[in-house]
Amino acid sequence: MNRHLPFPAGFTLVEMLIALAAGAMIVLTAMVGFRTATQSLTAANRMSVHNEMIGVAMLAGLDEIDRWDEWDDRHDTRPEKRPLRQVKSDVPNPEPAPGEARTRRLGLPFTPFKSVWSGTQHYGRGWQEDERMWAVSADNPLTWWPGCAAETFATDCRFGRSALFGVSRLPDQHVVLIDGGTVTDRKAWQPRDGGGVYGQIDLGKEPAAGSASYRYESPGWVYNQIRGLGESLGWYGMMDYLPAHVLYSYVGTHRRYRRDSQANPEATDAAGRPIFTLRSPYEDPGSGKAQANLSSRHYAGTHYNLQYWCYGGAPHAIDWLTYYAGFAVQPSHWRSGRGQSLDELVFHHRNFINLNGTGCEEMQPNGSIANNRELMTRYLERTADIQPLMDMRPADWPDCAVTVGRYLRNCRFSNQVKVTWMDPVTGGMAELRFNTMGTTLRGARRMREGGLDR
Amino acid sequence: MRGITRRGTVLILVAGISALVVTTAVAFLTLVQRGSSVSARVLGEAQCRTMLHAACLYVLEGSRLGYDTPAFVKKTGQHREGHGWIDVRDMNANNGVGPLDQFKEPVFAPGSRRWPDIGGVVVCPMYRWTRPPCAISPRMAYNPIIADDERRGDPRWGRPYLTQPDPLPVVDNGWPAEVHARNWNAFLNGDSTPSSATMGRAWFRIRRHSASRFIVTCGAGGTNGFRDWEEVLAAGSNKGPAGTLGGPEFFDGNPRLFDSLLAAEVRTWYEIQWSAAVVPLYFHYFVTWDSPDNKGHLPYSYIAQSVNSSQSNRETNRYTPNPVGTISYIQRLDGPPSGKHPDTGLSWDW
Repeated sequence: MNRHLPFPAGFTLVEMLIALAAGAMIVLTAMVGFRTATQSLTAANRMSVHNEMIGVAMLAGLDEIDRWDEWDDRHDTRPEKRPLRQVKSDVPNPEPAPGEARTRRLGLPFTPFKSVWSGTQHYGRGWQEDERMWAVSADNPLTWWPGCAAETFATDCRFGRSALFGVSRLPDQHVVLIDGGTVTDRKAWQPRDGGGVYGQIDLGKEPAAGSASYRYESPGWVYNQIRGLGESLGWYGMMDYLPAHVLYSYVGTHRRYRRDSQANPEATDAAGRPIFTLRSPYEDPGSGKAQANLSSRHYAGTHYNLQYWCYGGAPHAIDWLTYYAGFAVQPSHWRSGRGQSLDELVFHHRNFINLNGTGCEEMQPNGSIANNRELMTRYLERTADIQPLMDMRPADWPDCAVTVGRYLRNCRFSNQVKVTWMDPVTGGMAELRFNTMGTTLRGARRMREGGLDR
Repeated sequence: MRGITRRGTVLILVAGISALVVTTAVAFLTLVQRGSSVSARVLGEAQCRTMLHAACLYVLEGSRLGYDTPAFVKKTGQHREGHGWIDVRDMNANNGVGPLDQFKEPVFAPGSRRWPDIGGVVVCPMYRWTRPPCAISPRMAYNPIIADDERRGDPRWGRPYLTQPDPLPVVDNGWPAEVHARNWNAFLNGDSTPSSATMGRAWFRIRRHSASRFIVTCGAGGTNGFRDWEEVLAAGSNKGPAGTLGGPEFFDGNPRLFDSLLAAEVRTWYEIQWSAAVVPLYFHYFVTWDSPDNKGHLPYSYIAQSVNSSQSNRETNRYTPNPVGTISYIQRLDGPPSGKHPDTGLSWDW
C-alpha cells in the first residue's frame, strides 16, 4: 500500500532549520540593505540641502553686495530698516563764525543730501554740482585743490598762503582776515614776530548756484564740497564720492586759535595759517566737550584726526590716510536688535580703527584712545552685518548665516562676505570667506528712489 | 519543479535588490542634479563678478591704450595713445570727449555710434587664446644645476652655468640647432584661436552711454555676448572669434540653440563711471616727521624724496598703480536698462 509520491511530502527538521536560517538571513540582509539605502538617501538629501544652502547663502551674499538692503532697505520704509538715513541736527557748532549757525547737521551714508546738505547754513552746493564740475569740467581751476601741499599748520607759510583762495565758507562769508595773532609759546608769526591782523581779502559774494558765473566764480568750491561731503556722509562716504586725487583737507575762515581749548577744532592757528584737517564736530555726551576726528597729535586732546599718522600735519589723500587706518560703513543690525544709537552711528562713521602692524587702536566716544586685544573683535562685531539665511527652518537643516562687511583700507574698497554654517547632526561649524566687487556706496544711493543725491 | 521554484525565488530577490539599487541611484542622481543647478547659478554669478572686474579694467585701459596702428606709427613716428575718456588737456577739443590722441584727434569717428564713440558697443567673449603674444615656454629651470652624485665627475657638477638660453619662446626658434627668426611673427602675434575648453563660458559687453558713463553687461553662458538673435543675424559672418564661424553660423544657424543658451545664461547689468582722477603721485613726505615744538618743519622732503624716489618703501608709485583713471561708482541695475537715463536724459540702452 505504500504509495510513492513524485517528491517527498515533507522535509526534515534539518532542512526546515536551514530554510528558516536562510530565510532569516535574506530578510535580515534585505532589511539592512533597505535601511542602509534609506539612511543613504537621508544623508544624501541632508548633504544636498546642506550644499544648496551654502550655495544660496553665497548668492545672498553676492546679492547683498550689490543691493545694500541690509544697510538701507529699498522697499521697506520703516525707519528701523533705514537707520543710516538719519540726521543729527543739533550738533553744537562751537564758536561759530559770523553768519554761521550755532548748531549744524551731520548725516550718515544714506542720508539724502536734500535733508542734510542744503540751505545757506551749509557748505557747498550738494553733489549735482560736483557731478558737473568734476566729471566733465576737469579743466575748471575751481576743481583744483588750492593749497600748497608742502605747508602744514606747523610751517610758517614762507611760500605764501595759497589756500586763501580756496577757503571753505558760507555764501555770506566773503571777507577773510589774515591774522598774525600771537601764540603763547611761539610768539607771533607773520609779519615777522609782529602778529596781529595785517590784512584781509575779499573773495566777493558767492554767485547763486546754477548761475552761469557760479562755475568759474566761486572760490572755495573744492573745500566746500569736501567739507559738505564729510558732514553729510562721514569719512567712508566722503572718500567713496570724492575723486581719487583729492586731498582730504580744507581750510576754514579764520578764527582765533585757543590753545587751551578743544572747543574749536576747526580753527586756523593764531597766524591765520591753515590747519589741514577735516573735522567732525560732535559733542561728547559725557564731558560736554566738542569731539572731532581732528589732529590731536600736536594739540593733545580728546579728538583724533582723519589725517592720523600724517607726519607734520600735511594734507594727504586716500593713499596715506588709508595706509594704517581702516574705515567702515556701519550696518544697521536692525534684525538682530543690536542697532546703534544715532549718536553712535554719527560717531563711528567719523572714526576709524588704526592698524599699524603691531596692534590696533581706536578713539572711544569719551575721547580716550583704546588699545587692546578685544578692540578688533568689537570692531568687527560692530561693522559686520550678520544675517541668518532663514528665519525659520526645519531642525535638520543647517544653521546658515551670511556676513557682509564693507571696508576701506590701503586705497581699496573691500566688500567682504563670510558664509557660516553649522551641521545640525554633527554640530560641526565651517565657514567660507571671499571678497568681491559690486555696487559702491554712491551706486547704492543712486539705486534708491531715483537717487539720494538730488 | 523544485528547481524551478528556487530559481523563481532568486529572480524575485535579485529583482527586488535591483529595484532598491535603481531607486537609490535615481534618488542620488536627482539630488545631485538639484544641487548642481544651485552650483551652476553660483558659478554663473561668480563668473559675472569676474566679468565686471574685467569690464572695469577694460574701461580703465581703454581710456589710453589699444589705439595704436602700424599706419599711425608710419605716419607720425609715434605710437598712438588716448588721453582719457574725458580729455582734461583741452575741454574745447571735441568738447573734451575722448579718447583723443597726442595730436588731440579723436581715436574714433565722432557721431558714428561705433565703439568707442558714445552710443557704441564693444563685446568681449572671454575665451583663452591658444597661445598669447610673446609666449615663452613655461619651463621651470632652463639651466638646472647638476647635483646627482653619479655625475660628480662632470665638470659642470654643482655649478650654475648659464649654458642654455633662458627663456625660450613657445614657438620653434631652432634651438639648440641653428637659431632662426622664421616664426617671429607667430611669436609676436600669438595664436588667437580660442582654446575650445574655454569657449562659451563668460563674456562682457560695454555700451558707452556718455562721455564717462558706461553700461556693463556681464554674462556667464554661451551666447558670446549677443543680445538676441536679431543681433546675431546683424553681426554677419565676420564677428566670430578667430578661427570660428561668426554670426548665425556660430550657433549652427539655429535660433532655438541660441534661445536655449540664452535661457541657461546668467546676465547682470551695471552702470559705471570713469574718472580721470588718479591717486596723487606722492604726498607722503612733504614734511619731515617732527613735533611742532621742534623747529624742524622744513618743507624740503619732497626735494630729498621726490616722486619715484626709492629711499623708503612708501615713496614709490607702487602705491598708486592706476595711471589710467579710476572708477567713480558702480551701480547694479535691476535689469536691462531701458527708456531715458534719469540723469543724462539720453537713451538708456545696453
